[in-house]
Amino acid sequence: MNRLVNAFLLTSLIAGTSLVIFSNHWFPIWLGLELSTLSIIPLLSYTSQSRSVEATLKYFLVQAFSAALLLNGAVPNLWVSNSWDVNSITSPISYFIITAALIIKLGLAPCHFWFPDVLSGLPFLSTIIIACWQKIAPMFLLLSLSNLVSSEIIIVCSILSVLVGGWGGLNQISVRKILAYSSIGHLGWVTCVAFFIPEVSYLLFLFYILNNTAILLICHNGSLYYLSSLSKSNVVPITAILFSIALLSLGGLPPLGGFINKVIPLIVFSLNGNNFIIPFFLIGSLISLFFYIRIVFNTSLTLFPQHSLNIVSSRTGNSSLSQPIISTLIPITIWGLLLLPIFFLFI
Amino acid sequence: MLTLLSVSISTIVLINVKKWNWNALFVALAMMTFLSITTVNNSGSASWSFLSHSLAVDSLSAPLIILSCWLAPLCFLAQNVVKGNSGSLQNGFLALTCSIIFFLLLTFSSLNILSFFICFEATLIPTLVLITRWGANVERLQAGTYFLFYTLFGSLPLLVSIVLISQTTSTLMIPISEIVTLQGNTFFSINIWWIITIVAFLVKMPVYGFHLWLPKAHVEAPVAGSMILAAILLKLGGYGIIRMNAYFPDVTTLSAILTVICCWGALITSILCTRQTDLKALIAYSSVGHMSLVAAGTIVFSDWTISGAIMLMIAHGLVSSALFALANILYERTHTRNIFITRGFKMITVLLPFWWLISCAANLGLPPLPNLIGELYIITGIISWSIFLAPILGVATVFGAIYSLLIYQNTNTQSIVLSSMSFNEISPREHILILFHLLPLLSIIVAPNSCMVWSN
Repeated sequence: MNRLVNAFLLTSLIAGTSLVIFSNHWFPIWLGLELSTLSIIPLLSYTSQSRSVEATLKYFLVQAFSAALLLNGAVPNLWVSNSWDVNSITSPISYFIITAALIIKLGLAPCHFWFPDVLSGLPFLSTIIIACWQKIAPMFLLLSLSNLVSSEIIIVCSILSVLVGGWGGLNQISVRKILAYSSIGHLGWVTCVAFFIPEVSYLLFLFYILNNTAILLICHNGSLYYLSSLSKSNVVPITAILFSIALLSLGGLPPLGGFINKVIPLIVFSLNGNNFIIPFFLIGSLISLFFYIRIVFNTSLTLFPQHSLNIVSSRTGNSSLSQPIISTLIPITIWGLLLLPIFFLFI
Repeated sequence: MLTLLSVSISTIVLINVKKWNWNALFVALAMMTFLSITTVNNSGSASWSFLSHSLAVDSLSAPLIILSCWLAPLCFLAQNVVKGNSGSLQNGFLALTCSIIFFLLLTFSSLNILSFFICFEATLIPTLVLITRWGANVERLQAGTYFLFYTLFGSLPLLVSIVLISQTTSTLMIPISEIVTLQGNTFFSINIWWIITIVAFLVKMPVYGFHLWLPKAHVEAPVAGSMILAAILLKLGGYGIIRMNAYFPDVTTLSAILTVICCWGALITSILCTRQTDLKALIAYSSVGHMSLVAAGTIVFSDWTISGAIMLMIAHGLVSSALFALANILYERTHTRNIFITRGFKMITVLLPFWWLISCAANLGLPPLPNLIGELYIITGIISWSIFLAPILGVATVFGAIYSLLIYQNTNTQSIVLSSMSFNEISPREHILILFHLLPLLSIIVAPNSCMVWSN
């Protein structure tokens, strides 16, 4: 794609998300969400493969529908409280509609069905935009609204997301679908904390985004589209080890950084006396660990019979822009456990 | 303590030594072992020494620290096959083993329960990589999965319990644990709390109901992985139960049920051992039997049983690791672990039957070796707790003697099967390996107080 067009579309994507984050009025928020959706449609569907076009269309339909639902939910609030202000949600109906719209946008269960489908049709760089960047705006909205009218719908949806994320990823062979289900599960962990302490949710969400970006960038470098190509990939061998470490960190194994994504929600839940929901999260996290382990086994711990040309080609074609970004993000997965004391600022 | 940790983490630098990396690491870890012996506390009471902000050593952790430091150079001595791999794979192997030792040192010396948990789990990933990357059969993937998921199934509830303890008592320090009292809400709540705390360690020990991962992991692991697993990683379970039981002084019903389950588990696994066909699986099941006894001792939680448990943990670590090393000596030459084929090596080996004899005698609990002292203390304590467990423990001990003698007789005194087998001589490296496993056993006989101090 023409560089100028690319730059323009990315700039308007960033502008759209910033518009959502920085406004107080419902209309610019809806505008920002639609702007970010519309600006990435050319980015996603530029490759004229029909699978990408189909994924783009599904993505657009879901996002446009949920954005319209969002604006529609702001209207009863206007009726009741006479204000378009975001921080003045007073009617439960309005809150419910807005929350439902945000759940569809984020891809939490039970509205998660579009997410693996869309994600498995796109190349990996577009996957980073859909799975990481596009979550920022709706997550921000959800977190800033959860202070006002806390309702248990968030907890129900997050428990469902964790369980769906665990069980859904078990039968997949496409790496993108596996990462989609893992994304659903992790967003379940993050949004349940939003019910209690939203500031901590920001920290967990940021950590998850960075971890996921690192994994998706490594997958993009090695073109790891299916489980069968994991062992034949031509990544530099140290990247295979770091890929496994990043995945185990996503699975929440101590002493890696992703462990804070598990221990902080547990502390928050027990701080508020909500011990009953903890077993569901543990079950979901254990099940999702299984398919992370499957990817780790296939990547670096088993050696399939390899053609000698594959070993030679690992030296070429890896000096791309994504390498410095990967090198910056991977230390978070290794040393991230040292970030745990930051959490105690928020209690 | 900080000296020890910094030495252990700096040994990873020695991986990059060009040609002598294995030897350099061996020497460095041996020096670290020498340092670690200074932690032994001979004063006769369970007190904390080497105290710092977050690390300390007491009479329970000192023998285990010495054991883990002692096993580290022996692992490098045992693993010979890896030297055929490429340089970077060798370095990976060395790095993984060093990191396991480092995290073990941190686990045994940490004063904070959460840091104990993090290091307890941190030993999982290197062991998993050791089993699945350097194992030999296809089943190693399933073995690794079983290992990881059995342990995590137990330890995630432990994490919840640690978080709950920190909420209730607003401290996570181990020396304070005898003073605080946990209040559950109803009658069942403190029992459930105890169960979710203990399950992680019961799986790790393992006791009979949760033991399925151990034979798989041992059979598929390389010898260094098997040695570390049998010697130290199982003892993490015993250490954890002893530490965490201080929070729960009065869980009587559930602890009674668990003690009986552990004793029956010791009996059942001892009987199962007589029917195994794989030599390493036999030793693995014997590990399950001994550690079930240790678990029963720690759950009963009296002075005698815990002293016996500590002693049996140390002795069993050394003996079990020696047995795995002996099994690997035979496996490297015959490439089979089937006990119907690995028979009768008394004919063709020189000093090896002697080592087999001492190891099997220690396994069955021959006086004056410390295995007997540990078993005796535990059995005495359990019988005084309830007389009805006496026949069960007695029969378990008898079957323990039966299968230990079975191992010795089969591998040494039976008629040899493969008459046209080419069998390399036992190298001095292997002799030294087994000798250094058995020498500490003999030295513990004359100084039992180093491993047995525990006053409640």
